[in-house]
Parts: sequence; C-alpha cells; structure tokens
Amino acid sequence: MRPKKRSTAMGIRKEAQSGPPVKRFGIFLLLFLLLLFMAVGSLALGKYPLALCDIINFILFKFSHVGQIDPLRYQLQESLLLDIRLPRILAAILVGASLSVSGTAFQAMFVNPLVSPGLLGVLAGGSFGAALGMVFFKSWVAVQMCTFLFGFAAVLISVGIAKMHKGNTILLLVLGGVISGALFTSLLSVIKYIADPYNQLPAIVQWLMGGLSMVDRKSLLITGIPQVASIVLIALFSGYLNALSMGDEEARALGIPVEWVRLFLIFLATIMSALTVVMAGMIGWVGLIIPHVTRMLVGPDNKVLIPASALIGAIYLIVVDDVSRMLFNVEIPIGIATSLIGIPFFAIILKKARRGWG
Amino acid sequence: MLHISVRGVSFGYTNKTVLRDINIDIAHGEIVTLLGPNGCGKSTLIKLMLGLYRPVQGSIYLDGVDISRLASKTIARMIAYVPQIHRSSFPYTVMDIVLMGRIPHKTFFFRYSKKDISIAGDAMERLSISHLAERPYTELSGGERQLTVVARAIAQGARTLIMDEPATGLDYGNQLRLLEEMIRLSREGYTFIKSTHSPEHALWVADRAVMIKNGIIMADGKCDQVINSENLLYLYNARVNVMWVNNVFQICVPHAVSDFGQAGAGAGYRRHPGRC
Repeated sequence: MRPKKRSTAMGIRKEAQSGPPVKRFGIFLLLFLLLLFMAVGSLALGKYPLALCDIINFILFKFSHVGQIDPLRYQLQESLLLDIRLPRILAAILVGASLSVSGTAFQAMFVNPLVSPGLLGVLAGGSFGAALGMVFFKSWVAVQMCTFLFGFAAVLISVGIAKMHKGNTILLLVLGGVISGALFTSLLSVIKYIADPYNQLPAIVQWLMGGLSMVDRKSLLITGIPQVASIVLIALFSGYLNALSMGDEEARALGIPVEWVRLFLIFLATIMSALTVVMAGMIGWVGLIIPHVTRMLVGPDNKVLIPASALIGAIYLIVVDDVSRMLFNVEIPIGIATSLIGIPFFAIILKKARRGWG
Repeated sequence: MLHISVRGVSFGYTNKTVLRDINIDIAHGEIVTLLGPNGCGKSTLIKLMLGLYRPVQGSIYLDGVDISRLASKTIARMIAYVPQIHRSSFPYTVMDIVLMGRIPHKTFFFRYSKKDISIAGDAMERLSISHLAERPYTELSGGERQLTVVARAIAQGARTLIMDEPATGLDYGNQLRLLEEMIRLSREGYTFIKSTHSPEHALWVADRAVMIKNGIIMADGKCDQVINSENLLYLYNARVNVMWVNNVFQICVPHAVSDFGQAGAGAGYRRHPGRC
C-alpha cells in the first residue's frame, strides 16, 4: 500500500505533470539553460583555470576577430578549450543523455522501473570487446570497433536466447540478458588473466572504471551522430513506449506490433549504450538513476520523460565529470564517481521505486 | 448482422489442445458472459477474438471479415481489451492511460491532437471519472482503475469490449458499479464479452452465458436457461441451487449453505482434476 504522505519530490512531480504544455515547455527551457550554463561553466574549470571572460574573449576572437589576444596565449587557449575541454564536455553530454534515454526506454519496455541499459548485456559485451581489442590489436580504432561489435553481439545473444524459447518474452529477454552478461563477464576475466600484467592489465582495468579523457574530436563526431539520431528516434517512439509499459498484451490489443517495435527500440538502445562504452568505458548507474529522478520531476509520460531525461543525464554527467577531475589532485575515474554517487542514492529512493513484474 | 462469429475454432500449444471446435455467434449489443473453471480456455478464447492468437483451425469473423486478414490497428478500432485489474508499474495519470486508446488511430511518430484529448475527455465523462483525470493511476482504487481502462476502450472508438475477468479483485460495491456501467453502455449499443468466475455476474446482467469446459462449449444460451444446478455441478463440480426470487431474478445458493449440517460441508465434493 502506498503511504498517504507524499514527499516533496512526488509533490513537484504532480505539479509539473498536471501542468499545461506551457509549463512543460518551461521545464525544458530551464533544463536546457542549465545544461548550457553547466557546459560553458565547465569550460572554465580545470587544472589550468580560465576565467569566464577569457573564454568569452576567446570565442569572440575566434569567430569574429573581435578584441585582441596575445598569440601565444591564444594558441594555449585554443588547444585547451577546443582540443581538450570541449570534446570532453560534449562527450559527457552525449554519454549522459544516451545512457539515460536507453535506461528510460528499457524501463518502459520491460515494464520495470528498476532495470538499466546493461540489462541485455551490452555493457558487459562492450567491456569484453574493449579488453580483447587492447590485448590483441595495436590501433585504438580497432579497439573501439571491437567494443562496439561485442556490445552488439551480447545483445544479439540475449535476444537469440529469448527467441529460442516460447513464453513470456519480457522474462525470457531478461534471462537471456543474465546469461549473455555472465558469459561476457567470464570471458573478460579470461582476457584479464592472459593480459600482460605490466601494461595491458592496468590499461584494461583503467578502461573498465570509465573515463572521458580518451575522447578526441574525430571519434566524437563518429559516435555522436548515431547517438543523437537514436535519441531522436526513441523520443519519436515515446507514445508507443507508454503503451508498451502497460504490458505486451495490452499494447498488442491497442494495435501495436509489439515484437517489432521492441526489437527496433532494443536495437537503438544498444547502439547508444555500446557507443558510450566506446567513448568512455563502463559508466554505471546513470541509466538507472537518472530516469528515476526525471520521472519524479516530470512524471512517467515518456513523451516528456525521454527528452527530459536526456537533458538531466547530460547535466548530471557534466557535473560528475567536473567533480571527478577537480576534487583531488589525481582524476577519479568517472565510472567510480557515478557508482559512488548512484548507489547510496538508489538505496534511498528504492522505497519509492515502484515494483515491477507484478 | 452478426458482429463476431467464431467458426469451428481450435487452438492448442505443441502438445496440448486448449480449445476444440468452438462456434459462437455474437450480435451487436449483447453482453456475453464466459463461464468455466480455471484452465478451461476462456482466456485463450478471449485472446483469439482479440486477434492476439491465431486459431490452429477455423476462423473468426469480425463484421463478416476474417480477423486474420485485418491489420491489428483495424481490429483495435473495433474491439478493445479490458484486462484483469493490474498494478501499473508507472504512475501514469488517468488522462495518459485514456489517451493510449487513441493509438490505433495514429501512425508512427504521433502526437496527440486537440481532438484526441477531447475524445479522451468525453470518454472519461461518460464513465463519470473526469475528476480523476490528473490523478496517478497507481493511486486509484481497483474500481476506479477498471473504469479508467473502460474509458480507454471507449476513447479507442471500439464498440465491442472484451474483458478478461474484469471484476476479479474488485470489492463487492465496485463489482456492482462496473456491471451497472456495462449494462448502461450495452443499451447504447456497446457489445460486451467478459469472462468471470462467478455465475452471479451473468445472472445480474441477465443476458447470455456461454459455458466452457475442457476446451469445448458445454452450454450457450440465455442465463435463465443455461445457469442451473445441473450445469453448474458439471461445470465447476460444485453443488449449487439456482433459485428464482419473486419470479424476477435468479440467485445462486451453495448446497453447503442450504443443506448445512448434512454430513459436513463439502463432504460429498469430488476434487476437480487439477488443471490450471
């Protein structure tokens, strides 16, 4: 039974949700401005501090040649802002948004608010692929390809296992995901065992803890475009997601070709999540926590929830990345930071989380 | 003209036949109650009529067209599904849920239009649940939740509602209110096909009952002809007296109540062979 007393978070949600479209628009505007503010603010943060006015001067000079900057200083600023900080911030935005949106979509289509994007094994498969690549290939591009391919393969195995049997598709998919995830986790152990313990193993371990420091502009473009496209497509499917979250039979009785829609959405979510591993390694808990928080703020309607969770996920990852590189002298891997923030938070909201699967 | 005709339909899984040679004709405006013990095939028949399953043999016709030749959205515009009462995992508002009824009228990548919202509003008004529109579905009582799903069915534009044990889990008052709404809507021309575990529900509506046992139709007809002691004994293996009250309506009274004290209640019962 639900307790009568409502916490403030639920109160906010109710208010926001029942509001007219104008109010919803206001929330999006607010979130968007917050994201912009965070992104620009983070440009100024770092070991080499830059004042906001320096950044504004730089941008003005770069794009319209207004003002004056010492050439040496200009070069320093250019490499710092455009080659290091900006790609990293954009990557944080993309990874945060992708994980949050695929988490939201998974929670709706698996009719359970407690599942995360890794449910079907994409993160385990991607990690194995990355480790495999680091041990057997020299080139970074090959490692990235390997990561993506095995992330995809893991999901294919889950779906394949579910298709092999007849019965409750959702449950079978989840079990398939457990099997596939376990398989790739053990394979990862094999790779760790055979890896050279002086160079390769530390690199693998570091990668598995997640980090945005490896991001460069070129790979950002290649991974970013499919991620943005997938987010947009999932957002367009959000009306169907609402119906899917009522269970298979109801969705089918509403005329939705459930099997196809679900496969397509799994496909999109897999692309997005696999690419986050390609970009930044294993970043846990974002895809579970952010959809939850967003649902508390804007309600469960996926038409609002999907774009809002993309924005909130992006903001969250920028903040966590700032914290992880600023808090101590050495950078904390971002995956560790998201887990350490996410786990206690999850323990707290668990009580409010709605039970799934009956 | 017949609305739904089920002709010679059989259905089964790899090694088990669930339904055998089922024939039912349902006209517009009827309230048909499907009765039968657990596992008799009621739910399967319901899913066949919704087009969710395909019959192994035979066909189902919807207004004269074979249902297997209709697109699922076309079926959804004609028939709506009201499932057993369930807890949604997500706190959608009642409005969100009723709006889902508009999905069969939409293509991919849709947005709800003003018209959809007003249709959903009308549907809620017809069931007098407009005041719940912004309430989270998860916080409603069972009866309110069931009325929400009925409103969704109406917003769907369907004139036929197929309900799988709609009253299960509702308290007595809500069961009655749900039945009242069904009777009211059937007078407006809506057709209802519902399964239930209690013959009383069929008697209250007093229209038509179809009894299914072991995958075949055991009896089909007006309630006062079909629901009697012999049929109920055979159907549920339960001894029940069906009595007329003032020659106006019928009630079921278990033998254990009317013959209380004779050899202890239930002594003469044979366990129903375990199927479920």
